[in-house]
Amino acid sequence: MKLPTDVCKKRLTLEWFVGSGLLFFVFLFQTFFGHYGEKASEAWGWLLPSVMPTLLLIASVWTLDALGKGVKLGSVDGFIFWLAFSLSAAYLVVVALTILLQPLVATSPDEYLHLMNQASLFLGPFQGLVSASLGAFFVKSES
Amino acid sequence: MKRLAPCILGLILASPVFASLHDFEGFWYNPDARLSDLVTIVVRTEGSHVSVHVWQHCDSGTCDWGQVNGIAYALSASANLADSAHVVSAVFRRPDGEVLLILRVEDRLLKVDALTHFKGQGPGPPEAQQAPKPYAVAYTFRYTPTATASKPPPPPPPTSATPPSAADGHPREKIPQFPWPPPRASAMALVPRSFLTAPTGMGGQLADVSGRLLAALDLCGYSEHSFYAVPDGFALVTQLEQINPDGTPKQAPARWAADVPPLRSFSMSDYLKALFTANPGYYRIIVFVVTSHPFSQAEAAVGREEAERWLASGLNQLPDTIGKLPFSEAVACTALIYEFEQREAGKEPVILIPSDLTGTDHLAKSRLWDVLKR
Repeated sequence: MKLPTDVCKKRLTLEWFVGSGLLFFVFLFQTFFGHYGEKASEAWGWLLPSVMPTLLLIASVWTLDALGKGVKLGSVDGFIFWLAFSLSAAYLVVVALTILLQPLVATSPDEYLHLMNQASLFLGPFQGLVSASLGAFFVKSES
Repeated sequence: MKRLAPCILGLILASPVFASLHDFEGFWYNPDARLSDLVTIVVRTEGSHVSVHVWQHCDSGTCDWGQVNGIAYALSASANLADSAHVVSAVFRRPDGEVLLILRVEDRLLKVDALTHFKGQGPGPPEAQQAPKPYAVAYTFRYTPTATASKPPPPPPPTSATPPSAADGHPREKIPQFPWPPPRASAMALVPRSFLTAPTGMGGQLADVSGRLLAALDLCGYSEHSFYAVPDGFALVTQLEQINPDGTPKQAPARWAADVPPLRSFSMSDYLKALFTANPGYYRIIVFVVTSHPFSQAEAAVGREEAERWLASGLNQLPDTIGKLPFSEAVACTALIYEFEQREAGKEPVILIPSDLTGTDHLAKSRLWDVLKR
């Protein structure tokens, strides 16, 4: 089943920007209220690399679209879209859980960062998988 | 015990007054206690469960018999225990035997029959045996220890009050001294004298005051304490407890944890607070200073580690030499509150001077004020 590429791109963009935006605001409030204390920079140093590469990829594609450089709208395989969409959703949920479960398992900024670093062990490969599926999707649509 | 069974049955059946189990709960004081009499009983209830804690008037002041589970008796097997319990029994095992207490509430008085049975008493006739004979003593305990001058004065103390000195066989050097003047506290409150006196409002000894404070602490959940000597009196130190910002104690086991624990029971407000804020911890130590010696506080503040050491370094009970001091009109009881704030877990707690709450607020939030007032 083929899906219109522009619709797929919009759905993925919406998913990533809404998900990352929510995480961003949770982090912002946590920083304002001193949740991470003196470890705020380390905490942001964990969140930004977790979501920014993908957001930059998506944003750059939209920029290229806006400039009309080599963007060729058409259709894309539905399986690739749903694979990318599902992996993205799962990835964002895992990142969110790493933040939202902190009060239940840790009490200090050091413990929060320890939890985040532990999560990085599996978030790193997971992020590679998500990026690959997204990259393939966007590259395919542009080629 | 077989020999006592008819007595127990008779006592229970002869109880014409019934009450709810809640009526038993609280601090009960024996105004007529003489040496070896029971002086204080604290009854706790939770649902149909009841526990009884007893102190005896002994040579060294007050002797703690400890706390045992009691049995509540309703009027019939089908009756609700919590609503119609009219008798409570409790058995205390003593070194030389055991004491069965039968408790009944009548006209806001706690009537207690103490049935003592010694070891070595077999099925034969008591007069043929060497062990002391079993005996029963009846006591009446009062619930509300407010001063009423019309009541008869209490009996004279069993021994004369003797100020502590090196000549009485109890060298003062052996009694740990509380830092004097006391380190600067977060808050302080004078405990009204009427909270600490016997129902007669008359005299007594510092041991009586100590017993009153210990019973109140026990009722409010403070199971650990230690005693220090101060000029002409004593200091009673409570264990470090973790409190909420409003002064109410946290639920155990978080109350006695040395650090802020993660959320143990989920509530949305607590979760959001822990998710977004620094999750600060507040800790409190209460020191009751009972002395006739006026004092001010030292400029130097105390750290939490040092304050925590107070509990371990003090004595587990009030020394006789201090306990026998008279509770004269000049003696005042001052509660010093040492409150510490840990801005985030893992950080060194710092003392809050002054506290956001008054000393009276701290005592009220810990329920000590109300319990002592009753």
